[in-house]
Amino acid sequence: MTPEKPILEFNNVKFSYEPNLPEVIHNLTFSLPAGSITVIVGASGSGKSTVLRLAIGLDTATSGTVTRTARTRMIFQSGALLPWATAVENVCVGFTGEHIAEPEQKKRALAALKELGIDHLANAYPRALSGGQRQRVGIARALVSEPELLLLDEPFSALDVQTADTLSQELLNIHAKRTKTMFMVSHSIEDAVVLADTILVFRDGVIAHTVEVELPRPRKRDDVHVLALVTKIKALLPGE
Amino acid sequence: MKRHRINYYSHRGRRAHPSSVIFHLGTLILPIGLVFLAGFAAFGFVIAPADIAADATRLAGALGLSLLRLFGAYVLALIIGIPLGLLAESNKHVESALLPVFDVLESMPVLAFFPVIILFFLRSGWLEGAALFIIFFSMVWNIAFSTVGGLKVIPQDVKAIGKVFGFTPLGRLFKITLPALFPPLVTGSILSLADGWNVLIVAEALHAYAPVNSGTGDLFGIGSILVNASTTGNTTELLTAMGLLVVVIAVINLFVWQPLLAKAEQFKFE
Repeated sequence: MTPEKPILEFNNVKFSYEPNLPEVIHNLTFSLPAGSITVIVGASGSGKSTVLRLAIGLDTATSGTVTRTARTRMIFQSGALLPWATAVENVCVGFTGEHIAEPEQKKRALAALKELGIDHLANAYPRALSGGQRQRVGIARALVSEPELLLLDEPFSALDVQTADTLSQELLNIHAKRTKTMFMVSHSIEDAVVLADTILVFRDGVIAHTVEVELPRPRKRDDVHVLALVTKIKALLPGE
Repeated sequence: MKRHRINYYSHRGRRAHPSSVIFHLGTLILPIGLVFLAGFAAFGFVIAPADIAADATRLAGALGLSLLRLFGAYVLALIIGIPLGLLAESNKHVESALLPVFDVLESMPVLAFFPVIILFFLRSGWLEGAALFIIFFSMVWNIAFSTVGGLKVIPQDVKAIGKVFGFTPLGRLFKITLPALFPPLVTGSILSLADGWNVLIVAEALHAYAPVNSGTGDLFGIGSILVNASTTGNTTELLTAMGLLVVVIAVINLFVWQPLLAKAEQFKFE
């Protein structure tokens, strides 16, 4: 049996922001198997968000290759909603480039909002929504066109712990129902351990450690095994 | 019953209204009152209603023409200023080359070059163009700098949406960039129009700037009426024209800028 082709593959990727600036990513090589949840953790400013930007094509590798074989969407730290558009209109942005009639788009966008429990806010503008509600709209926008790969750039960092817990559970439900491949960047080791199948510890522009998380789901932040793994991973990070 | 808080919007931000109707009327009545008071203080009389009636049609026509000039120059300033701002922000190298040029051009006292501009348009046989150009030139930099400033405050994540969700360049322009530029462009437009009004007053009184023997007459408009009324000592016409100007500016503020500023709140990033 031939192994399944990775959904995202970095091969000897190097990156610097300017030709005369030092490299922030050196010879990065890894791949994501389909259906997995991988979280990349690292210190602030270590370049972990750059890995996501390279994965989606917002930045281009100085050398090496980034190969994506799947339709990809991204969930942003701030939600990145358009303030002049209602929640449902923001979700419809996810259909850009697809030939789907407007009423059908709206119907599917409302269904996506309903799945996340915020269909009653369909006609609200982002400024009227809480941080968690905005992030849910961002998730609905990313999911609505049924991508195979979801990139998540610190999606819980602006949220309180309770909302972050609820949202991470919702993401796990989505993963279980639709078998999406998820690749998330997080500075929170706790979030990483609760969600991930694999944790990549990013340090000095390379993946310094790969940690397979074999704890059963659902995982709770205060579970003793979760806490032990969090402590172990923190020890792998600089300054921890 | 839900109570609505009434806000007053200015290009400096939103403020709570102390009251509603009275304050709205105040923005109209107070400036007109000041004109009348100034007239009384300076000349010891207020304008005779009969004179106003006699001049009303002429002044209204002049004001209409002036507004057309102003609007034409403003549309030109938008057409040129927005692409200039977009170009300046297209990459760092272009920005470092263009912004100093914009700075110099914005600081240029355009009225100093007005005689040359008049001569140029006189030779082309289109004197109206001289006024339009000089009003446009006083407006375009506000629009260009508003565009540059507006582009700088679009969050990186929002800029990234265009690429992540596969917008075409035109789709990105019309669905993300231009809506995001709406608030700075409204404030830039208010400042542009203010500069435009200032320059309009002199731009229509061509005789003051045109070289002697060029045979240049004034352009009919509220600006030339104000300048000529002032030089000939026609106080009634001067005060009537000033009052009319204030009314029009206040009406534009109430019925154009106030709704646009209120709408712009919805387009702002938090």
